[in-house]
Amino acid sequence: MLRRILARLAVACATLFAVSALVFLGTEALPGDAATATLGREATPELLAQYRAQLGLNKPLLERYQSWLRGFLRGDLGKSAPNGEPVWKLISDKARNTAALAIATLILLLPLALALGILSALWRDRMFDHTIAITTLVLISSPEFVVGTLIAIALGVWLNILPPLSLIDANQPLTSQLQALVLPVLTLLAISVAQMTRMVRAILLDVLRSDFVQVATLKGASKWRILAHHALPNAAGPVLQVIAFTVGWLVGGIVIVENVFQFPGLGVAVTNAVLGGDLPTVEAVTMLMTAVYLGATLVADIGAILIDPRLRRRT
Amino acid sequence: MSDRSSNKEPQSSFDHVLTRSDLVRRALAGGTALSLGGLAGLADEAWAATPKPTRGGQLRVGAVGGGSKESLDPNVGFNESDVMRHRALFEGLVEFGKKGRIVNQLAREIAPNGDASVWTIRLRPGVVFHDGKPFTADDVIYSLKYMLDPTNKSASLTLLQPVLDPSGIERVDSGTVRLRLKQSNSLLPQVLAERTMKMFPSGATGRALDSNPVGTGPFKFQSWTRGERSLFVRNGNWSARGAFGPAYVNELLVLSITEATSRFNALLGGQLDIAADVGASLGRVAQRNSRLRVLSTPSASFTAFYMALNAAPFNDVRVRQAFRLMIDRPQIIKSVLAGRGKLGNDLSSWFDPNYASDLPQRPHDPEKAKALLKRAGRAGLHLSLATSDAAQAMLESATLFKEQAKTAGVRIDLQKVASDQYYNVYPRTPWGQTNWGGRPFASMVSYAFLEGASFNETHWVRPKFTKLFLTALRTSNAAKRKALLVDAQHLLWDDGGYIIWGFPNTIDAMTKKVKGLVGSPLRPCNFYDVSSVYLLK
Repeated sequence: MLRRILARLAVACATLFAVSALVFLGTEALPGDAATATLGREATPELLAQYRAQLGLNKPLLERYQSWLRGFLRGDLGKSAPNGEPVWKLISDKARNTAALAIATLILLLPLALALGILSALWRDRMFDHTIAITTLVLISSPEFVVGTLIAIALGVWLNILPPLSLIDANQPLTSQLQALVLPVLTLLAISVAQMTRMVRAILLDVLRSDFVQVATLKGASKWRILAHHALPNAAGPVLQVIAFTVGWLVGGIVIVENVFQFPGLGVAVTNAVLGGDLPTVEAVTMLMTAVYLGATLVADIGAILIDPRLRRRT
Repeated sequence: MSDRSSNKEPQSSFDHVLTRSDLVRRALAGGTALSLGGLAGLADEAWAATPKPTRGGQLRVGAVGGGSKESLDPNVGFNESDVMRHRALFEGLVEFGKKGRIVNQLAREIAPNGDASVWTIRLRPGVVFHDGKPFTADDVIYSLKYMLDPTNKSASLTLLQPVLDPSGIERVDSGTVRLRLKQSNSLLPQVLAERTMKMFPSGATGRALDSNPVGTGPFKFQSWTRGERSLFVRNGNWSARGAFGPAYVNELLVLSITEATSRFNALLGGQLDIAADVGASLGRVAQRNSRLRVLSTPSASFTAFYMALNAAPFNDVRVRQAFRLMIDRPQIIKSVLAGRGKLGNDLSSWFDPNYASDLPQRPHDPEKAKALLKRAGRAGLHLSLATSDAAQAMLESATLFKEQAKTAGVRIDLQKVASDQYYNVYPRTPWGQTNWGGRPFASMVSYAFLEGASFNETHWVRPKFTKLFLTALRTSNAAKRKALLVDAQHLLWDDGGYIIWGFPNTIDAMTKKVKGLVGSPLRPCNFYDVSSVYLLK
């Protein structure tokens, strides 16, 4: 089993490396660079040349990538292009905010989605199941920015009970500004609950259709006993994968939702960095997000192996 | 409680008696008196028409931010929220005041010699920095030399370098500085009023200016998070001077909110007191909201078409004239700007005292345009135009122009370019669209109308024009100088390559609690100076 985990870790590292190269090339392919982005309309050829020389932008692509990679391996994320501040200093507060957003969403999401998914599967084709199905389908098919904007207008502007923008003050503790989290968490929740409920329902229906559940039913076991002793333990492995998948979706969805609410997190930071041609910051944030995604998948895989004896035996 | 009602009462009755524009005009007149007098006593006089200003409170303003590009260093800031911060913390020797007029700020007097080649700057006495150190000639010399040192990457370098060498800066005494210019420049105050030319303490490095800025301005630095928010507190030593008001509020919070819709939502949700520059359509929404007030200000910034004089078919003046005649300016202002804009006459800088207001308004005359094109051998011209939504009204005005051009027999194919790519593409095409902030005419000339100028989009190189301009720079007599500059503008009107159809108003939205904000033609939100703003309790 250890070998399998190590192999997965190696694949994760290789993926990180490949992503870093892709991001470097992708940012390079964009028109303009940090110098044109910073100077904008007021860029004169002389000012541009000065900026490029100072930021080392006139060096060849490969050389710049190598020097970034060497720094990264030493744990040095480099300096932000427009202002020369260390990238880590710039994004650490924002990483904290995004983590708070993601954790708050997950804490609410898991029990809610599991409960809704299980109940929909149990009460399949009844009123409850249909209501949930319609609501989730509507939410899944609406883009994050639409759902977010609607929630902001309804609760922030019309009812005016919550701030429409999450203008968090980095100089104050986050715990004193929790109301700024409510609208983005609601938006992320609305969409992720919908997706996860659908998947949990599908997994559970699959398990409920299986032979051993039918045998248990024929033997006269009660519905709840079947659920607790037979169906749920067998569904646990796939559900873990669904959770990992949802974490992966959250990483992407957060970027959009943060921008809707101007939430000062990694999503807004990476958007600004892309627009500003700030390659070191783009790299740092994408590496972090990719690592979170790969980490979640890895943990889910290991969890699945631990839960399911069949998977353990196969190694 | 009684305080509150006494504040409310006169205001509500006022709204019935006076129209908004009356109020603005009165306030404008008052503001000018204030700039000229520079006395706190006059400031109270100026606001006599509105309820008596109240001190205190926190003013929260939302403006376009720049993410990690934002800076507190006045030498490197480029986005709107940077301008707001720099105008709150620092002062220049001179500043743009009400109506875009230049007023003495840290300078008490700026006097040229006979041919405007040597200028003597006497400093306002008794000015202290936020840290308590007195402001002296040494600080002026340090600041100017800092801007002129290319390694500092100051945004002021481009404008200052052609005018001044570090060796030309002399200390006369602790309150006087003499500048020996490279060549005569009777419009030096216009150069020094550029928004990046702020005075900072001797010895301040770029790093220090960005992390703990010390200026002389109406507000002191308290804290900030780059790309998000800055908190400033009132400068205890401050009283109204030069272009700036008395700084009524105790705290100024600048929030970087890039999308206009987000700024507007934050205003509606009670997170802001002022949402700067929300645009015409949100301005209409704000007007229908009883809790909000809209400030619509004639602006000198513009989105225009340019035609390069060195490329066919625009190397023929008849084609340029035809294009300027076939555009229906009032129609664009009506449908693109919802009427909130000023008619353009192919010249910039209408607020400048040297503006050529004697020229007739160019009419809409598609028939004459057709005839001109025919005479130039260009009847039935077919062109493509790169356009984008990179600036206000850019895409919309191009779309309308395409239709209007048909009446003169000109076919235009539009090619839409992504907004973040437009300024990488645009100067290489023989004609296109451009966007300029409000600038005095002489500043426009040094950017756009001299050989080798950084933004000579129209490739305007005319020895006669250059000679008129340089003669004007040597002329100290204001009336004679104006005559020369007006002649220069006549050349641009007859022969130039810009189609400046209009100037969109800037629209700021605020809650009714906000009082005292008057617009500036140069930038939104009174050129981001809120030192005259007070909050009703």
